[in-house]
Amino acid sequence: MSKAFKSYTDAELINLLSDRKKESAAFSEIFERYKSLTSAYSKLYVKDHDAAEDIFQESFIRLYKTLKKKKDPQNIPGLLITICRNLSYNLKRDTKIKVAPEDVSLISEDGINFENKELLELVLMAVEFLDEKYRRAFMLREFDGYQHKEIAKVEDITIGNAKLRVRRAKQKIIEILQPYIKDLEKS
Amino acid sequence: MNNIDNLHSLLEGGLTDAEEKNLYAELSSDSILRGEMRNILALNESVSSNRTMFLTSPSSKAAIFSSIGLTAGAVAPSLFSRIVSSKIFLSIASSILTTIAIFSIFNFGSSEETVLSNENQTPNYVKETIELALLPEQNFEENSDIVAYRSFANTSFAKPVSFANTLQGSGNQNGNQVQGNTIADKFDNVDYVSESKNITLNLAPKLNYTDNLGTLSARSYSFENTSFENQNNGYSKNEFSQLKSRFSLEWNTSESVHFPEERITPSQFATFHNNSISLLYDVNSRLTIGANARQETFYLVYKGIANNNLSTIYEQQPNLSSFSGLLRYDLFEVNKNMPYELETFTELQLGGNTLGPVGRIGIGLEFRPVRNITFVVAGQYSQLRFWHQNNGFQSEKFSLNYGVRFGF
Repeated sequence: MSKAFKSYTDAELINLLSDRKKESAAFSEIFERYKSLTSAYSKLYVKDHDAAEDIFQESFIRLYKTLKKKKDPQNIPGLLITICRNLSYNLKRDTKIKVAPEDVSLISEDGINFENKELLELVLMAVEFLDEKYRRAFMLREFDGYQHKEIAKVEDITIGNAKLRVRRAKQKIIEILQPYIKDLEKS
Repeated sequence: MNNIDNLHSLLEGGLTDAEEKNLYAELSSDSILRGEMRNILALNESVSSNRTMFLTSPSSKAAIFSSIGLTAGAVAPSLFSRIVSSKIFLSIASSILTTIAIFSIFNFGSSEETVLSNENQTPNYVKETIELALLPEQNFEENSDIVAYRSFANTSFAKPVSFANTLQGSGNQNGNQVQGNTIADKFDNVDYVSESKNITLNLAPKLNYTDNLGTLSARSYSFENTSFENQNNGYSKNEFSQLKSRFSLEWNTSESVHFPEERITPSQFATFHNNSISLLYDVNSRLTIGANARQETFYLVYKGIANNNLSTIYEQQPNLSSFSGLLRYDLFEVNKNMPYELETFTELQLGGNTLGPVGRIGIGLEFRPVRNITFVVAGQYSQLRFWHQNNGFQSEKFSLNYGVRFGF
């Protein structure tokens, strides 16, 4: 009986992409793990919903091609954020928006506090620096809204361990973002 | 638990009143702890207030996978697999199977009706001098009232015992040829002596008969043995069916080859994948009916129109729980009471699962080393018929099934 794909590490899933029979299932698992992260990042700087959706889809398509070309294990969230960010910048660079003064209010920020958005971007970037088990627990909890017992079931750990991993992940993110958070507090 | 962990527990609502009070007291006097609290709150707020940004469209995955030439389809685990993947069910199922296996191995031949006469119980002279003639009034093959035959010769197998309604014999008494009849009706003591004819017949325990004419002496008589020289004599299928239950439980596992050859596999195979269990009932010596439950996969290739109006070829291999009725027919009639018998059978199964109807046809062999345990191996062709967007498709596979059948 095959090992459940949810229990595979990112590196193992990347290796399975070279197996024709298993690559669909392996990439499906990669997609499920990082779709929330990529979706949030693609919407951070691209207001248009359709454009954000295009960037989201293109990010995974380019991720797949990159993983297939390079045989050595990659940092998947790091790759995704890099691809996503570059696509967002390219879109902004290539899009010229002409706005009449009276329409300014229509393109104003849609309720996302500037500092909050900036912190969100920092959080998304900091996620890639977490150990895989802490990253997965944090993303399941914060991005996908899983309860601790659901995380425990998915990761095959105790509820106590699930709580611990989420806490450790948050502490690590705070540690990584310490300089930035201090700046935010000062502003 | 340190204060940082307490902060997390406070925000998750996991502290008692006393612990909260202590933590607030710590916060009021510790500026660093208050700074940590603000960091955690800011982190939580930045994510939770933007939760909608993490949501993805269901069609996104299909569009991505279509672009890169992969299949995004994933089938939810079936109800059966969700049930059997639970630990409680696994524990119960393994206990039941273990009990059945132990019962079958250690209890065959121990029923009252099949207690043997063994060499220790039967005096040697009985075997030497008695050649019992059991000349039934009626044909045992058709008379369902007769219990069974018993063999003295071979104690290795649980052979049932029967005795005729009437025993006939001839022999010498004091140099005279004597003939007589006796009626056997129930099991009793070994010796029986006739007053009228001074005949004593020593038989195995549990065999007794009343003699309206007198007893038959083992030392004096020799009986034509029409029963025990031929071990097959007397094993009528009616007798067999009276002595043991016709029900049996069969467990199988299988190896399958899909047509066309599978290109994808499920992300997770269901528990009990490629295992099946059947409850069987022997209608007669050649025909068996039953019900089968199986956990399996079928490799599906089908066409449809996707959400983006593109003509799409889908490939899937979902986990399926299939339920069927089955009909099994022995190609050659054999004695089911005899061990080491090899039987050839054909089988037809009709049933279905959540995707559609399933039909199977197969041919196999059964080998019975001991009475209540049979090893089964069979080749089987299966076909699933399913529909997508009002178009019908089929999936085929060939399986090699092997397993064990336990008689009750």
